[in-house]
Amino acid sequence: MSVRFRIRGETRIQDGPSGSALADLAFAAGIPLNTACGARGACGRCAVVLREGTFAIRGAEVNVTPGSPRRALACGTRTVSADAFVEIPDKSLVEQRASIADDFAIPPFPWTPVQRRTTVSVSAGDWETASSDVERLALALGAAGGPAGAAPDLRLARELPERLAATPRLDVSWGPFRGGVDVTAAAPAGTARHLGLAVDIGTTTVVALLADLDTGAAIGRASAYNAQMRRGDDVAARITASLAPGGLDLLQSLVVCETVNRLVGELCAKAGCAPEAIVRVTAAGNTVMAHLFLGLPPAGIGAMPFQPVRRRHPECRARDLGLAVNPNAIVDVLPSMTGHVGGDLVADACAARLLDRKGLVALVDIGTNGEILLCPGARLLCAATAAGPAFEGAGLRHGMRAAEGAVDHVRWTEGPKAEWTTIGGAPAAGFCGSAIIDFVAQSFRAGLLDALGRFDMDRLRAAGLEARADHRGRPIHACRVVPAEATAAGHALTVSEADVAEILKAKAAIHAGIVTLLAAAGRTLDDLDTLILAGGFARHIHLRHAAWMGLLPDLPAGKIEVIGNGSLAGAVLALGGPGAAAEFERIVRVAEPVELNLRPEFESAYIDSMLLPNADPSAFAAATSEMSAPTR
Amino acid sequence: MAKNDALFKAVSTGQRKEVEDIVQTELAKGANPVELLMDSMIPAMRDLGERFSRNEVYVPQMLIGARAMQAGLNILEPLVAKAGHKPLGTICIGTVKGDLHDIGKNLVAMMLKGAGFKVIDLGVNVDIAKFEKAVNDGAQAVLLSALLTTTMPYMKAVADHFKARAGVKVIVGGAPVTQGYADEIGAHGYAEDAGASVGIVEKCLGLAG
Ligand code: B12
Ligand code: FES
Repeated sequence: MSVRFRIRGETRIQDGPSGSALADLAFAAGIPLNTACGARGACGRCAVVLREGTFAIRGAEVNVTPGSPRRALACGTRTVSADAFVEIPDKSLVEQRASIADDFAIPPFPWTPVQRRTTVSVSAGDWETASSDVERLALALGAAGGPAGAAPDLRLARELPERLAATPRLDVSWGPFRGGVDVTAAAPAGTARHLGLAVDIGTTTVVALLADLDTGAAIGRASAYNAQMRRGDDVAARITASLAPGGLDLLQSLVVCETVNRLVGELCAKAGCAPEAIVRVTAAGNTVMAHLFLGLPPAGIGAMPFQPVRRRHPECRARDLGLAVNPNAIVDVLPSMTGHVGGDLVADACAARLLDRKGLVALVDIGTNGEILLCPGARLLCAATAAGPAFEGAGLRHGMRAAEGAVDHVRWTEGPKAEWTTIGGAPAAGFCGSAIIDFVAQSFRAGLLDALGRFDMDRLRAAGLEARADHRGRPIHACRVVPAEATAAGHALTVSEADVAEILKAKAAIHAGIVTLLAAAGRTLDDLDTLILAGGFARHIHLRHAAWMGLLPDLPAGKIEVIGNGSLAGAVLALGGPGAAAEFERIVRVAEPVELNLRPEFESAYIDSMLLPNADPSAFAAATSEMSAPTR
Repeated sequence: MAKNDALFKAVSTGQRKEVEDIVQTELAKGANPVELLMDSMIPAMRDLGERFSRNEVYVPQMLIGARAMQAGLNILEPLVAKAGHKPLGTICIGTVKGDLHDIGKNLVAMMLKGAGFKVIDLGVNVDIAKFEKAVNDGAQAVLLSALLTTTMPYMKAVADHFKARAGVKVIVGGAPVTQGYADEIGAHGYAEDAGASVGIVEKCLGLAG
């Protein structure tokens, strides 16, 4: 049986057993189909056009003839006939050429590699002294200023005679491993590079940084979508996917083989080095991502009481995970605070030196999971407020991720008339989160949106901005922002009241989370001295607009720090930051989870925060006065 | 007593303080609590629900409306109970085991109260035994809420459990739940939002015209 897929004007043919789901066949054909809900038939993102053949749509057999195409969800449709023809519209594909944050801003630190290299001369040994290759290697390492008693594992020991036969002068790479010192690699002196790989494993994107372990120089960075995306957009969907037969193995191989290994290949090809030169890998990700990377079942994190299998991950070997680097390479995954506040936040906290700050400091990752840390004195309160993916454009009529063609900023000028910019200057394809923040904040300021997120339709009509849209089969108010002529698809880009409501739900979660965590510490917004924003998204948003709409606390610019991809920064620190491992441990040890559901303040704060900027605007005095100042 | 427009409006626009003030003043003037509830507040909530289904109001307004309604109910409920007012029917509602999300569930509960039902709110993390007890206490329908794809499967366990009890209707909802899932687990009803929940409960209990 084979299916012909038509995608972006090209044809791809994929064979597979009859009865296969179209979504699976599309993945097999390498098509980046959007299956946001994890192929549950709930999100409608995987819509395709059946052109020809016999299919089973949700179990019901349908025969499609060339003249009468039919729309269907790829995840709920199976092949029946021997041959079929299916068209995949662009909007059912995951955004290509994503802009992924691979940079971070952290104070400079002296490079102190955990994995070191020492050149040794191993003696030939003599028959009168009871010794062995391994022992003479250890002796030579000690004599050359290395640690005493370091030993290679069985795999390297097996190869040692061959190495020593070639030359007694070896570059020995050694580093901490499960409480001892491991000899990880031994190469003829002066022949191999000594590299480390730091990886940020995000639910959506994965970033890898290749570093010279001896000098700390960053050799290259590469990023990609996490291939697990085909099993759903958020961590809960991945947990659900892990429960299917073979699900856990599949998810692990999607992230290791189809994501990280490809990045390794790309980095090594570009730098002209062998993957075997990578002898240490550090990885930071949320608790579910860490579990899936290691092949640990994350099911316990899915429902109360949200228990992970482990919070701390003793080092393991690359070969145990299937990583395409030196098979002996040591893999170090950052520990988690709780099931929903993971190693990425430990990394952020370490990169931002959170525990050593003065004053009351909050650190927020504005994203799907919405993790928040609050540091009153020596304490560290943590919570995840689960804002959802609206800031990634999900669930919005014309929303998209930050990728080429995304409208990233919007501004109202006289008229009102919209001005906008797109990523890469490409024709507009949709709005990404930063543009939505601009839009909501400025529309509210201009009085085009009221505090409840409703448009002033008279004004939109007068300005020629009224747009037709529908939501759940009924008409809905919408505002046209980008006219059809300027778009990639040839239809106007609009924001509807339902889109605004989605954004309000997400921003309310973040704001209510911050307020509730403060309340748990017996503090209020007024007491906040510093706000640290982690994650790529915060780098691209207009911070005042975020305050105008009540997403972030109304703090002056000088009290807000944006650190970028702190998760990657933490992974880099794990490779070469002085005392990083001890700092991670300190963070995990002091972390106190706050279960937001169990705090009575949350619901009330959430409802207050649903309004623009807030039902209780007293905490938004500066924003309110800025907004009432005349627009230029 | 005719509809009290100020009270109606205060509920619709979510003026919590205003609702409390009007209710107190009216009661002091000798107003009938059942009438305040039935003629002004319940219609306001119903109206919000209908406008919600027509895409005329959204979650933010629903939530502040429900909160204002709750403020009024806190004062009126004991008085109404004393007056022996007869509800349309009795339902129980809860967020299923493993899940603590309750903002949506609370909204649905408020809409149903607003529509004149007696609502047994079982709270969050509710297991089958608690639903069973509510049914034994007179609930005619069991409403289940889940916000996590990981806790949805528990809805099936509850639906299976009540299959044997003819007459007990199982109605499901929550953001990840779809009509397709409701059909698959054999639930009697599903509603996408709080506005639609009243209609579906009325239909399941044979009250719809
Ligand atoms: C607020 C929120 C929270 C609050 C909950 C506070 C509370 N007391 O409820 C907090 C911060 C505590 C929280 C925690 C978690 N959350 Co949360 N949360 C949200 C959020 C932002 C909004 C949910 C909400 O209240 N919506 C408003 C209400 C009015 O809408 P609603 O619930 O959908 O209800 C409507 C309908 O669904 C329907 N309905 C609801 N129930 C019923 C029942 C019946 C019978 C009927 C007929 C209709 C019906 O009517 C309602 C009104 O129209 C969503 C994301 C989002 N933007 O939607 C995530 C979200 C639901 N959470 C999520 C997650 C993963 C979690 C956590 C597991 C992780 C974490 N962050 O630590 C925890 C677990 C909590 C727990 N133990 O259950 C995920 C679920 C993903 C998935 N695929 O399952 C979401 C979708 C975010 C995301 N994409 O990551 N969360
Ligand atoms: S509907 Fe097919 S993946 Fe969501």
